[in-house]
Amino acid sequence: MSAETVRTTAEIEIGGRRANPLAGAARRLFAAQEGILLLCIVALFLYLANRSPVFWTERNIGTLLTQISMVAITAIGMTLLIIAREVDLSVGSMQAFIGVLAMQTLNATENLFVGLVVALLVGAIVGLINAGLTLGLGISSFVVTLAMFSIVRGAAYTSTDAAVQNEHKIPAFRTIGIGAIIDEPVRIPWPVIIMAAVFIIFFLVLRGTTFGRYIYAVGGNPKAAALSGIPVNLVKTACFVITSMLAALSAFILIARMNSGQNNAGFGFELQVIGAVLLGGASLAGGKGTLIGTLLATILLGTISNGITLLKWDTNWQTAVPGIVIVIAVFLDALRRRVTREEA
Amino acid sequence: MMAETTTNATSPQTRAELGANGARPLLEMRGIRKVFPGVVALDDVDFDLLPGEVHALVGENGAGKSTLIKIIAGLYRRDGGTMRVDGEEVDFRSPADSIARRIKVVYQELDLVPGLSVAENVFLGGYPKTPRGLVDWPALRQQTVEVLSHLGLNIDPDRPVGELRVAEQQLVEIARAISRQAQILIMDEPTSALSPAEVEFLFGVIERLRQRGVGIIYVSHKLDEIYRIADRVTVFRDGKRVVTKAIKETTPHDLVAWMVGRELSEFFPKTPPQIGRPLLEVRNVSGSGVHDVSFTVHEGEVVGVFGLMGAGINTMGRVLFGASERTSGSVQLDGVEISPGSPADAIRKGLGLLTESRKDDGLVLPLPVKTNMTLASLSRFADFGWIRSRKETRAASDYVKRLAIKTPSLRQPVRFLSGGNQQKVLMARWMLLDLKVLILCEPTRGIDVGSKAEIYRLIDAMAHRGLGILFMSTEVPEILGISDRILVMREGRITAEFTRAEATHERLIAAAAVATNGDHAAASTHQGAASAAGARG
Repeated sequence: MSAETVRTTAEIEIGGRRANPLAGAARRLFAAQEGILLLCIVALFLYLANRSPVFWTERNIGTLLTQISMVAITAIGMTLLIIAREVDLSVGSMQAFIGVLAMQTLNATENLFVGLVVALLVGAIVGLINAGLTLGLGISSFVVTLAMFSIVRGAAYTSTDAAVQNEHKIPAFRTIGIGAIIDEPVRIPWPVIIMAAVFIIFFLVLRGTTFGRYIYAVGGNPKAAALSGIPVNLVKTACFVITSMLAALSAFILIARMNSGQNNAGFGFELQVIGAVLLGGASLAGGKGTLIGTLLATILLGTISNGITLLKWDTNWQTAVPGIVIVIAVFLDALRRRVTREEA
Repeated sequence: MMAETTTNATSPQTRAELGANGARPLLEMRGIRKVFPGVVALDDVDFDLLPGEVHALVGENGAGKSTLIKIIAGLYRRDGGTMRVDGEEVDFRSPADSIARRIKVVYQELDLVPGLSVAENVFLGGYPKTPRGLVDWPALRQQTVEVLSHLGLNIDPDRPVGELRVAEQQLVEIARAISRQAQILIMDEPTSALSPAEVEFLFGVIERLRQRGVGIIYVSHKLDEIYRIADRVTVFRDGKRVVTKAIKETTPHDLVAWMVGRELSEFFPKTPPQIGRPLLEVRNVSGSGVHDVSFTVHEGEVVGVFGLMGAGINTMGRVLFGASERTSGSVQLDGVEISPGSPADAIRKGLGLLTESRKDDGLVLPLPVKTNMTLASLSRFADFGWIRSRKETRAASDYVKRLAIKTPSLRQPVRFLSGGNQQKVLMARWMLLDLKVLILCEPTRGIDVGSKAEIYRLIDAMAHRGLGILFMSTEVPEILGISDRILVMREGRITAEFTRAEATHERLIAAAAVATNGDHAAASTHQGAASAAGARG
């Protein structure tokens, strides 16, 4: 990117000292969480490709990416929110509630667009409620969204006793879940392309816009941000709403994949999402984190899960292993920080 | 000044005199050195404390008092020199080592557990036990009552500490020291939150401790207190010990001279001001901690606002800027009313505020130098929200050069910079905007002397370009050095105004000092002058 070249010139101008650029790049790679994650992914890919003939096939990689797309899309929003020093525990319950609601809307209206808009709108409303309670009443977002976690789950159970089946038979609906945007030369499933689009949009927002910069400032020091004229509450509210709307988008993809809206969907989803964000290098203390880190962490966790299936290990480990990986990652991060003498 | 002639004197005769009762020093420190990146905090410092002595430590902010205390408390390790407690050489690696040597520090922020009772706090970490290993509650109560009565205190040992007044909490801390048989007690600004009656009581307690042979190191910049209770005084300046003397052999005037020491004229690059139209017009403003203030700052003018700690100078800055509540009055900038309670509005109209606590509400510590610099002016480098990175970087690197900010790169997280360079980053943040008036709250607080001089130079240069400057400070010399006009605050009100020509050290102090009880005017002014020179700890 152009930002990269500008930085380099600035460094030369000010630092005056210029090391071997390649060594510098390597050092920078491993001075960041992203470097460690990339290394882990490459190692794991090599291992799995070696152990399982199925792993490195177009079909399996497509499945892997489709499976992670929902966690990834929500985790993109969650990254923004966690950088802004807030968190949202209600995204898992929203998978159920918004999924049920969207499927009911689709059945009633037989209109894909209306269904999607309703899903996103309900997501936005949940985000506004989270923001309003957190910022308006000054309660921590952990507590507020923990309450929403159970309220929204309860709403999902109340709105239907059983899974809401697909009764509308809109052809394009299933395509979103299981279809592909192109088949040649490689098959790219719709969820993957949606994930990629969301990633690119928010990558640019976070890196290139004043809003993105303000998210870091608000999370890094809210008082300093306010005294610099930054609308702290507005920035945080936007992050809450973005997170919930992306969770709603994930929920929509989920019902399209399952062909039904289930009121028990998304159990533990919030932990997968938050785990991926933290593994990606963000900190609950705010002001820190990148979308590349989050995406790499999501891929790593998804690959582990995929590998457990392929190697026919006890699939119960699929629940436990991500937790273990996060502990290891945080440990490595602490170690790295000690080496580079960076404070927590 | 006279400092030079007395520098070498640990004053042998004084030591001989005090040591005549045959007492061995409780604490002896020789050639103590402590270096922080870029700063020598303590340079070849000698210090000792005798049993039953109150030894006062005085000096300006950053002179080295707190570093010395932290070394004694085991919070810092010294880089050089020797330290003996009770004649034995010691090397404290942690506060626990210091406590084991029966040393107790009572900090300004008390470290009590608010939810526990007085008795539980006094013996925290060493409760009396029953034979079965359980806490012996009756014994705990009994022993607490004993300790409290030693101090002449009448506090219910079962009351939670959180319910006590600050003065009582402080006494509980001292009781804790006694419960551990502390022989060295260090008190850091113990009277800053106390009423006159509570101060009297505290002095009574100190006297009892002295009679029990406890050695007390007393840090304060209130010289009147020091003259009441201290036996000896040690003055620090710029990390060096200037002098140690029996208090009887000194006058408050000497102490101030030793504390301030340096030649100040060359320090302040004051050029003749070109004062223009009125820019900031403050009319009858009241708000949280500020009462009915009115004044005007003109184009190209530096208006100094002087006040002692707690006088409300920084609060006034926040109220004008909209960071604290404004209940009445009007603030106009170049004829435009600034809405209360909105820093964003103030910035848009051309008013900036540099706060006194740069790490708390100034810098975003984990973010890079560049980001911190452009935080308030970012929209100027953006088209429709998209940051023009090249433009931003050019502006930031320009200021790094102009202000001579020492940083390896613009991407360096600002937390790794020294205090002086951090402050310059914040100055750059406001210089990047085309402000009309900039409010600076204690901009030289806690930074090294070299950076101080550079900040003064910047202030002068900004005024020359037509900016109005409102400069808040608790330090008389810098107020006198750079202001064109000086306002003095006390208890949230403006009590006096001086032109540069009229202002003297004594006049500022007289207007700033709180009128104490029956002391006759001359004495209180004199002691006030001394305490203000050391104001800020």
